[in-house]
Amino acid sequence: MSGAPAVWRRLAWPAAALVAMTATGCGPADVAAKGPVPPAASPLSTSAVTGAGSWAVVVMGGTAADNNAFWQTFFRRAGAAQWTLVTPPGVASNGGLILAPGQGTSLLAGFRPGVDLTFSPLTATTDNGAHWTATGGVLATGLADDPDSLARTGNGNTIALARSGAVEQQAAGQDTWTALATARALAGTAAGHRCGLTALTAVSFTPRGTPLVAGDCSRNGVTGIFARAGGSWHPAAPPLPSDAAGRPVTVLRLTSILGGNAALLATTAGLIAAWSSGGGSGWTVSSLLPSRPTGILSAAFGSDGSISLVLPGGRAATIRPGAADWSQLPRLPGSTNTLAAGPANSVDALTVSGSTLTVWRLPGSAREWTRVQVIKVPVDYGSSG
Amino acid sequence: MPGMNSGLSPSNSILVAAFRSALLHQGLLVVGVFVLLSVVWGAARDWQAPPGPVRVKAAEPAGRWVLRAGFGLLWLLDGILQAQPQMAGGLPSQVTVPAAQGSPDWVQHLVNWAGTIWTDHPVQAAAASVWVQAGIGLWLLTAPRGWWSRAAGLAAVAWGLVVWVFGEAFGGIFAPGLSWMFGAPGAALLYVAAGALTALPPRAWQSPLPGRLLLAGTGVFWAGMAVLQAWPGHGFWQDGGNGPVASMAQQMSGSPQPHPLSALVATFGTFAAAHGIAVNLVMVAALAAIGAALCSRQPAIAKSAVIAGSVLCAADWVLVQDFGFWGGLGTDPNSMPPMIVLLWGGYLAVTRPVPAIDITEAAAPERTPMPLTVRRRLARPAAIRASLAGASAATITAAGALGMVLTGAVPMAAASVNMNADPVIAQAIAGDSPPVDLPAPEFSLVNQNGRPVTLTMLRGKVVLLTFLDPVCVSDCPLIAQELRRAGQILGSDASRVDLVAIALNPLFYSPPYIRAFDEQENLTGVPDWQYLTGPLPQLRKIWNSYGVAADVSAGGAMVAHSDIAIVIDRDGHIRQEIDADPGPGTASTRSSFAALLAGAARQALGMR
Repeated sequence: MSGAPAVWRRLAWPAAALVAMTATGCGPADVAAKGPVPPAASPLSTSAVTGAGSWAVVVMGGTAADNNAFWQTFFRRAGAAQWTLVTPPGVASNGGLILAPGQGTSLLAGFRPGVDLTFSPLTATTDNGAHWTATGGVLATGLADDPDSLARTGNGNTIALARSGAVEQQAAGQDTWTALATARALAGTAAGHRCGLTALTAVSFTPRGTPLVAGDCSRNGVTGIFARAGGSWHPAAPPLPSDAAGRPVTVLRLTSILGGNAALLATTAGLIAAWSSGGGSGWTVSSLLPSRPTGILSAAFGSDGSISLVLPGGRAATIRPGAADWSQLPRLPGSTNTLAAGPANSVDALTVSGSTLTVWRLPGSAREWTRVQVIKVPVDYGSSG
Repeated sequence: MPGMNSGLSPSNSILVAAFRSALLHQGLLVVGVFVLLSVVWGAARDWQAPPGPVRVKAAEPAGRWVLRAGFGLLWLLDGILQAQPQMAGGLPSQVTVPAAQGSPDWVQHLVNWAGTIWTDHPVQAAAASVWVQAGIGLWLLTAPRGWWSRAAGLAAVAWGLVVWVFGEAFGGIFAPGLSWMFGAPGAALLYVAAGALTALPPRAWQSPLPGRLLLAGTGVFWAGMAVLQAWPGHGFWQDGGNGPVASMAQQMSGSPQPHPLSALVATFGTFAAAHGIAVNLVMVAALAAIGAALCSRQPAIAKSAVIAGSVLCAADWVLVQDFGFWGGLGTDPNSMPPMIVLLWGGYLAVTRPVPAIDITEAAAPERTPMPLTVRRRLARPAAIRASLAGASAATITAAGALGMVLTGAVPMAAASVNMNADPVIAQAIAGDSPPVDLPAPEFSLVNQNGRPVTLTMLRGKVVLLTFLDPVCVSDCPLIAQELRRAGQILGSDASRVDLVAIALNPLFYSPPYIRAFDEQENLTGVPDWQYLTGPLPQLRKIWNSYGVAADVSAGGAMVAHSDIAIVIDRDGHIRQEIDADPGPGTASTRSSFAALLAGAARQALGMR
């Protein structure tokens, strides 16, 4: 620098400052963060059938981000045409509602954690939702985000899948929960190892009261359904059809039906329904329904094991045990939250717009939906903070 | 940003009233400081022996005078603007957080840290800003020379840096879209530059070097801004309403202000929308040309550049920045007035160097000496007395201005290390809770461990009593944390206070739910915490006796219930009923409620 003309020496530091300022002022590049791809999961909107009638769980109100999404429960008495709002009171239902039908008119409901509530209160009804009583068995760790995270036998034994991934059980008449299994412990068993178990996704009971758990397998072509017998876990999964063999399998749903269990499996090729009447054995499986597993908006079960799916784009598919193929239903009414069994072999589509539930009915052989009921739900916007 | 916003409206009447009250009280203190200084000065001058010949010192350099007086007035104006009613509750959420948008995380973290201190102590912080800035302004104006004047410059540097970093997010220089038109590099940095120049020793002003450096630095900066303004992809080269200049003008015209000004700015915004490319071309050319001219050592060229620059600054100040201080939360007139002052200060520093020192002697004024007895009493320390007697009125005023600065700075420094938010935030939500004196209704329940608890058993301790729904999703967890925190604030007094909650849900009230709530809120290890429940008829009776309600709703809502905290003294008398609705439930409001509850408990203990 000493040999440079004076004018350049004078301009050297301002030029350096200019370059630095220009570089700074260009501003940082905006790099979008990439998050993990969420695994396939089954939404909480669903329906089930008991001896007393049909139950449905739908989400209503506003957005979950504003704490204005409230889960509601509806009941239609067997043979009746109309649905009734029977949402269990006393707890905000922002986190979701899980139903575990019992015998006759009884049903157990669990509130999922939401907003600042981190545990799951449980409540039960014995008169089809007209009255609810809090049970003593609060699940401290909170129910998992799965529609099959709670199950109950006819005599009151309860099993729950917690947010922690553990399975807990509660004996009839008791308030305390005891650990039954964890994904890690189950993965370490021979059955779990064969599956390459990574997470648990559903719990249920066989008709004899044997606990069933389902989960995701990392090994292709293996379905993660296990039954507890003799103090240990055993494989209890259906065989896969040939066009699904060799693919990764996720158990989206596992539930009790009259006289058995039903399951909904997802592979990369599509969806498969399965039914068991033998306590986790003797499975029959359906043909493959081509569909993306992450696109299911609702899966509902009839008492006979029929499965009805709400798919994107207003599509719906249904299948009964023993049927060869899935049936496509007529295009669904807009904003259908879930399908449910209607009276006289009809199918009801429950649509939601804010705090209004509309019931559309498709009689057995009809090709068009008919609006049959509108229920205005007193959603208390803003009440959850 | 958690903690950045108390959740209260900036115009909350309680906050505004508390701010005004603080300004009034501190203003009286400032007046007191000036009065005291005046009295002491007058007494010292009366007592002191008549002074010798008066030496007239050199006139202040013109450039320094422009910088000192110009920025003195600006600081004074900023102090006055800081006294606007919404400042206490609105500055972090409405000013400093938006200023940091787009800046890197570390910048936002710094702004967030300072914003949290303001949010937790809104009244003290807002009042401090008034006195510090007005004090610096008065100090600069009344201290023309000497170390007092240089100290004022240093004070301006220190506070200017605080404002630039924490209030202006470094003037936005780390965020995209930097533009001279919108205030780059941050008005506060210009105050810092002026303060630094003011703090220079007198000999530095004996050459035109400070002026040349100032003009050259400004010139380089303007040339750099021209480059940024011309940079493709920054959005300035476009016609249409989405351009940054048009958008800024339209936004500023929407601030509450006199209609003619709003219309003028809106008109310019429309013009800029239609001719964005032409406007930017003019800006780039002007910035580049003026910047280059400012680097010239030719006085005539520099003068032309300073005049042209001043005109450009004035135009931008009116048409784009819209004077910078409308809307109720304007903290300063933005960057253009300071820029104009710097330009002229630099020019005069170059063209009018320090004149030759001229010492004249003048006859000393006659004064009546104080009585000998009083003189002897005030005899020590003689040096201080002599300094005081010899000080000018301007120096005494400058000393008062320093007192004004300290009136703001000291309490704010003390508040900033207080981890608990001021109770005024909670009071702004809860309103007044006048004292009462009523016997507290008795209760007999069991706690979370199954042990029987009655109110009579708790005599001898203050009881902070509330009612909590164990399956509540919002208010009750917040209230529980506030009680927990209140217990921590009480410190050694906590052993004399019981924190008691009674279950408030007619459906979910059994001990397992109480215990689940305690686990959820980390209350299981809190000493003197009792969460009580019992049979439903008993609970209903207690709710009724304390005037609390729990209404079951349909539609999936939680139980609607009262939020109340009751202070019961050691003799079982209710002394205060505080509305415990946690409001927005921000970190500041939770901390403030905890401080409020702890203060109420201390008051009931008979301590303050």
